[in-house]
Amino acid sequence: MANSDSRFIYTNDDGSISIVCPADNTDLTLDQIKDKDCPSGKTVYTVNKSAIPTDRSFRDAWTYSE
Amino acid sequence: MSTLKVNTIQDASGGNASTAAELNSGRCKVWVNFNGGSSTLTVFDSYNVSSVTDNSTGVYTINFSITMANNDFALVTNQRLDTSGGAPSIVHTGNEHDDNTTTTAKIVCGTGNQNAAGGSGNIADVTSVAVAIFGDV
Repeated sequence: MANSDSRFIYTNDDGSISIVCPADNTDLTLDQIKDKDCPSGKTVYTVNKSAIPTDRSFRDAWTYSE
Repeated sequence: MSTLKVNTIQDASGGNASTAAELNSGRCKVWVNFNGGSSTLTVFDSYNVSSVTDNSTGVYTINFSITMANNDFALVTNQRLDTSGGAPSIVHTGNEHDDNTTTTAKIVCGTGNQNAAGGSGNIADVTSVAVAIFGDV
Protein backbone atom coordinates (compact mmCIF):
# COMPACT_ATOMS: atom_id res chain seq x y z
CA MET A 1 0.00 0.00 0.00
CA ALA A 2 1.38 3.39 -0.95
CA ASN A 3 1.95 6.04 1.71
CA SER A 4 -0.53 8.27 -0.04
CA ASP A 5 -3.36 5.78 0.50
CA SER A 6 -3.39 6.85 4.17
CA ARG A 7 -4.16 10.11 5.93
CA PHE A 8 -3.41 11.28 9.46
CA ILE A 9 -6.06 13.37 11.20
CA TYR A 10 -5.72 15.42 14.38
CA THR A 11 -7.79 18.12 16.03
CA ASN A 12 -6.26 21.55 16.52
CA ASP A 13 -6.66 23.65 19.66
CA ASP A 14 -9.38 25.74 17.98
CA GLY A 15 -11.46 22.65 17.17
CA SER A 16 -10.59 22.49 13.50
CA ILE A 17 -8.94 19.42 12.06
CA SER A 18 -5.74 19.04 10.06
CA ILE A 19 -5.30 16.24 7.56
CA VAL A 20 -1.79 15.09 6.71
CA CYS A 21 -1.21 13.57 3.27
CA PRO A 22 1.99 11.46 3.28
CA ALA A 23 4.22 11.67 0.22
CA ASP A 24 5.17 8.56 -1.73
CA ASN A 25 8.54 9.81 -2.96
CA THR A 26 10.28 9.47 0.40
CA ASP A 27 12.28 6.83 2.23
CA LEU A 28 10.30 7.47 5.41
CA THR A 29 7.72 4.96 6.63
CA LEU A 30 4.17 5.94 7.53
CA ASP A 31 5.00 5.70 11.23
CA GLN A 32 8.05 7.93 10.79
CA ILE A 33 6.00 10.52 8.91
CA LYS A 34 3.29 10.38 11.55
CA ASP A 35 5.80 10.92 14.36
CA LYS A 36 7.56 13.72 12.53
CA ASP A 37 4.71 15.66 10.93
CA CYS A 38 1.90 15.36 13.48
CA PRO A 39 2.05 17.27 16.76
CA SER A 40 3.03 15.35 19.84
CA GLY A 41 0.50 15.32 22.65
CA LYS A 42 -2.47 15.08 20.31
CA THR A 43 -4.47 12.03 19.35
CA VAL A 44 -3.68 11.24 15.74
CA TYR A 45 -5.97 8.94 13.75
CA THR A 46 -4.76 7.00 10.72
CA VAL A 47 -7.46 6.52 8.11
CA ASN A 48 -7.73 5.42 4.50
CA LYS A 49 -7.96 8.36 2.13
CA SER A 50 -11.41 7.16 1.09
CA ALA A 51 -12.65 8.26 4.52
CA ILE A 52 -12.07 11.91 3.64
CA PRO A 53 -15.15 13.69 2.25
CA THR A 54 -14.84 14.70 -1.38
CA ASP A 55 -17.08 17.74 -1.01
CA ARG A 56 -14.92 20.48 0.53
CA SER A 57 -17.67 23.10 0.61
CA PHE A 58 -17.66 23.13 4.39
CA ARG A 59 -14.05 22.04 4.92
CA ASP A 60 -13.48 24.42 7.83
CA ALA A 61 -16.43 22.93 9.73
CA TRP A 62 -15.14 19.37 9.54
CA THR A 63 -14.64 17.45 12.76
CA TYR A 64 -13.50 13.88 13.29
CA SER A 65 -14.38 11.15 15.77
CA GLU A 66 -14.09 7.40 15.58
CA MET B 1 28.90 4.84 -3.59
CA SER B 2 31.79 6.80 -5.06
CA THR B 3 32.31 10.50 -4.40
CA LEU B 4 33.70 12.81 -7.04
CA LYS B 5 35.58 15.67 -5.39
CA VAL B 6 36.40 18.66 -7.55
CA ASN B 7 36.65 22.39 -6.98
CA THR B 8 35.18 23.61 -10.27
CA ILE B 9 33.13 22.09 -13.08
CA GLN B 10 33.34 23.55 -16.59
CA ASP B 11 31.82 22.70 -19.94
CA ALA B 12 33.94 21.04 -22.66
CA SER B 13 35.04 24.44 -23.97
CA GLY B 14 36.27 25.59 -20.59
CA GLY B 15 33.38 27.97 -20.02
CA ASN B 16 30.36 28.12 -17.71
CA ALA B 17 32.41 27.27 -14.65
CA SER B 18 30.63 26.56 -11.40
CA THR B 19 32.12 25.74 -8.06
CA ALA B 20 30.71 22.97 -5.92
CA ALA B 21 29.55 25.64 -3.47
CA GLU B 22 27.66 27.46 -6.22
CA LEU B 23 25.98 24.27 -7.34
CA ASN B 24 24.98 23.44 -3.79
CA SER B 25 23.60 26.91 -3.09
CA GLY B 26 21.75 27.14 -6.36
CA ARG B 27 19.98 23.84 -6.55
CA CYS B 28 16.43 23.32 -5.37
CA LYS B 29 16.34 21.63 -1.97
CA VAL B 30 12.62 20.90 -1.69
CA TRP B 31 9.83 20.79 -4.26
CA VAL B 32 6.30 19.49 -4.42
CA ASN B 33 3.35 19.54 -6.79
CA PHE B 34 -0.04 18.84 -5.23
CA ASN B 35 -3.76 19.25 -5.68
CA GLY B 36 -5.31 20.99 -2.71
CA GLY B 37 -8.62 21.81 -4.23
CA SER B 38 -10.65 18.80 -5.18
CA SER B 39 -11.73 16.09 -2.77
CA THR B 40 -8.83 14.94 -0.63
CA LEU B 41 -5.47 16.64 -1.03
CA THR B 42 -3.21 14.67 -3.36
CA VAL B 43 0.56 14.92 -3.70
CA PHE B 44 1.45 14.33 -7.35
CA ASP B 45 5.21 14.29 -6.94
CA SER B 46 7.81 15.71 -4.60
CA TYR B 47 11.42 15.87 -3.56
CA ASN B 48 12.57 15.96 0.06
CA VAL B 49 8.94 16.22 1.19
CA SER B 50 7.51 13.81 3.75
CA SER B 51 3.91 15.08 3.64
CA VAL B 52 1.60 18.00 2.99
CA THR B 53 -0.89 19.04 5.67
CA ASP B 54 -4.34 20.32 4.75
CA ASN B 55 -4.89 22.76 7.63
CA SER B 56 -8.10 24.35 6.37
CA THR B 57 -9.49 25.85 3.19
CA GLY B 58 -6.53 27.13 1.17
CA VAL B 59 -4.02 26.72 3.98
CA TYR B 60 -1.33 24.07 3.57
CA THR B 61 1.89 23.10 5.33
CA ILE B 62 4.76 21.53 3.41
CA ASN B 63 6.63 19.11 5.70
CA PHE B 64 10.26 18.48 4.69
CA SER B 65 12.14 15.21 5.00
CA ILE B 66 15.35 17.20 5.37
CA THR B 67 16.30 19.95 7.79
CA MET B 68 17.15 23.35 6.37
CA ALA B 69 19.94 25.36 8.00
CA ASN B 70 17.46 28.10 8.97
CA ASN B 71 14.04 29.48 8.00
CA ASP B 72 15.48 32.15 5.70
CA PHE B 73 14.95 30.05 2.58
CA ALA B 74 13.31 31.35 -0.59
CA LEU B 75 9.96 29.82 -1.47
CA VAL B 76 8.49 30.20 -4.94
CA THR B 77 5.09 28.96 -6.02
CA ASN B 78 2.82 28.55 -8.96
CA GLN B 79 -0.82 27.73 -8.50
CA ARG B 80 -4.01 27.36 -10.48
CA LEU B 81 -7.61 27.45 -9.39
CA ASP B 82 -9.66 25.28 -11.75
CA THR B 83 -12.89 26.93 -12.80
CA SER B 84 -14.67 23.98 -14.39
CA GLY B 85 -13.08 24.27 -17.79
CA GLY B 86 -13.09 28.03 -17.95
CA ALA B 87 -10.14 30.35 -17.65
CA PRO B 88 -8.24 29.78 -14.42
CA SER B 89 -8.69 32.38 -11.75
CA ILE B 90 -5.75 34.45 -10.62
CA VAL B 91 -4.55 33.01 -7.39
CA HIS B 92 -2.22 34.48 -4.82
CA THR B 93 -0.10 32.49 -2.47
CA GLY B 94 1.23 33.97 0.73
CA ASN B 95 4.16 32.72 2.74
CA GLU B 96 5.24 34.41 5.96
CA HIS B 97 8.87 34.11 6.98
CA ASP B 98 7.87 33.75 10.62
CA ASP B 99 5.59 30.81 9.80
CA ASN B 100 8.50 28.86 8.34
CA THR B 101 10.65 26.49 10.37
CA THR B 102 13.70 24.48 9.37
CA THR B 103 11.38 21.56 8.54
CA THR B 104 8.11 23.17 7.43
CA ALA B 105 6.71 25.95 5.26
CA LYS B 106 3.13 27.20 5.46
CA ILE B 107 1.35 28.70 2.47
CA VAL B 108 -2.04 30.40 2.16
CA CYS B 109 -3.80 30.44 -1.21
CA GLY B 110 -6.67 32.57 -2.37
CA THR B 111 -8.11 34.97 -4.88
CA GLY B 112 -8.20 38.72 -5.01
CA ASN B 113 -7.23 41.08 -2.24
CA GLN B 114 -7.13 39.18 1.02
CA ASN B 115 -6.33 42.21 3.12
CA ALA B 116 -8.29 41.87 6.35
CA ALA B 117 -8.73 45.64 6.44
CA GLY B 118 -11.14 45.59 3.54
CA GLY B 119 -10.03 43.17 0.89
CA SER B 120 -12.52 41.63 -1.47
CA GLY B 121 -10.78 38.31 -2.00
CA ASN B 122 -11.15 34.95 -0.39
CA ILE B 123 -8.87 32.27 0.90
CA ALA B 124 -9.56 29.33 -1.38
CA ASP B 125 -8.58 25.76 -2.12
CA VAL B 126 -6.35 25.50 -5.16
CA THR B 127 -6.40 22.63 -7.63
CA SER B 128 -2.76 22.78 -8.64
CA VAL B 129 0.01 24.05 -6.40
CA ALA B 130 3.73 23.84 -7.16
CA VAL B 131 6.25 24.91 -4.53
CA ALA B 132 10.05 25.08 -4.82
CA ILE B 133 12.38 26.00 -1.99
CA PHE B 134 15.94 27.25 -2.28
CA GLY B 135 18.21 27.78 0.69
CA ASP B 136 20.99 26.38 2.82
CA VAL B 137 20.93 22.92 4.33
